[in-house]
Amino acid sequence: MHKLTQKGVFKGLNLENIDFYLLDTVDSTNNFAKEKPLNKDYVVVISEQQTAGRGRQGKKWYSPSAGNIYMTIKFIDSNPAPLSLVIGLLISEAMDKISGQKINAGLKWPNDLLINKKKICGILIESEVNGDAVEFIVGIGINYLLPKKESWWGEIGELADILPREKLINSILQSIIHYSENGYMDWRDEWEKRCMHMGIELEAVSNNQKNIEIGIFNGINEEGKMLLQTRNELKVISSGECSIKGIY
Amino acid sequence: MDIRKIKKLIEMLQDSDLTEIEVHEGEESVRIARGNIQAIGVNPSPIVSTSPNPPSEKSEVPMAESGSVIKSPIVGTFYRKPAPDKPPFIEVGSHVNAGDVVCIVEAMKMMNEIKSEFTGKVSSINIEDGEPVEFDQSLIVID
Repeated sequence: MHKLTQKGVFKGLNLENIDFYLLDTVDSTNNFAKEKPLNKDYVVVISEQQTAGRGRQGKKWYSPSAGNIYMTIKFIDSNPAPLSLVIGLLISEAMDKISGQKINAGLKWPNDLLINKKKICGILIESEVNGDAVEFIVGIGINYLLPKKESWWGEIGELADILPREKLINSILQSIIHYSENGYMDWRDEWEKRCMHMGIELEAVSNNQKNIEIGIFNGINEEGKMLLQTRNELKVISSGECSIKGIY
Repeated sequence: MDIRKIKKLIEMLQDSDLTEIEVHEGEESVRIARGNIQAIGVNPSPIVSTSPNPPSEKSEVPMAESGSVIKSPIVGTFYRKPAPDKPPFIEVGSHVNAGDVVCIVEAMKMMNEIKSEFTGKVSSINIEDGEPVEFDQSLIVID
């Protein structure tokens, strides 16, 4: 395993704006970033391993030291687009950019990235209000190699040649920082282009599993909410999971 | 306000495409709003809130509830705990300082920490862990 280097990860980035940490191990890159004050424009934490990697609501994110990506970027986002969906889109675009369009990582609402119908990237975004500012803590985990895994977890180790880890981290950082400074006018169209379930029937399941709506996925609105055409009406859904036959 | 009038208003709301009706009559007012028609997991039956007076300009707290109300800034899912195996941020009776995190509201997989603007004692938590919430819905009351 080729260890990450500061030179490779931060190539082309202005480190005067970034409070950065390149670690061998940490409990969770999001936890670490949360504790760091935002003295510069960005806090970036990257680790080879997480001992307590986490997803939403306490779900564990298995994080062995095996050449995977565990990173967090913390910043103030003043763009009107929904950060949660934009981050998934930016990562999908970064993968295309590096590989020369060879990877078709599809987006599943709101921000899962799938290759061959399996989840290869997890995103955990937390927000904290600090005085008048809202700080976003964007955690990204991408699996290259998993010594053990659940059936729905994918890994991209076989793509490592066209998608080198260091380059991918660098490209993701570049694009998030570019987004934070310039916004993204066409994010909605681009998200829908990369979405893998446009016009497909799916189940929208509430987080407590108590409510299921079945309908055709009709894209997203300007807030990033799901538009679901059920038998009776067009529903606007902002929370929960979508479940699609045959796909994780 | 006469309960029959309120009942009539509820029927009107149910028979229409409207999501909200507000009526002022002298000193009294009543607002009837449909439950969450957007987020999933909410019973679409109407929610009725009445208040003896429209809130005055000085009042920051809705008259319908005593105490200071923490409301949801967005439509999403309410979480009382940072993680299922962790203790809740607060319980009824907990002391809360302004600036303390009291809950999380999730939307589109973004976990938004909600802080209390008030200092005091938690007098009620109006929603269960993991339940959907509406914009502006009362979550927690601080006395």
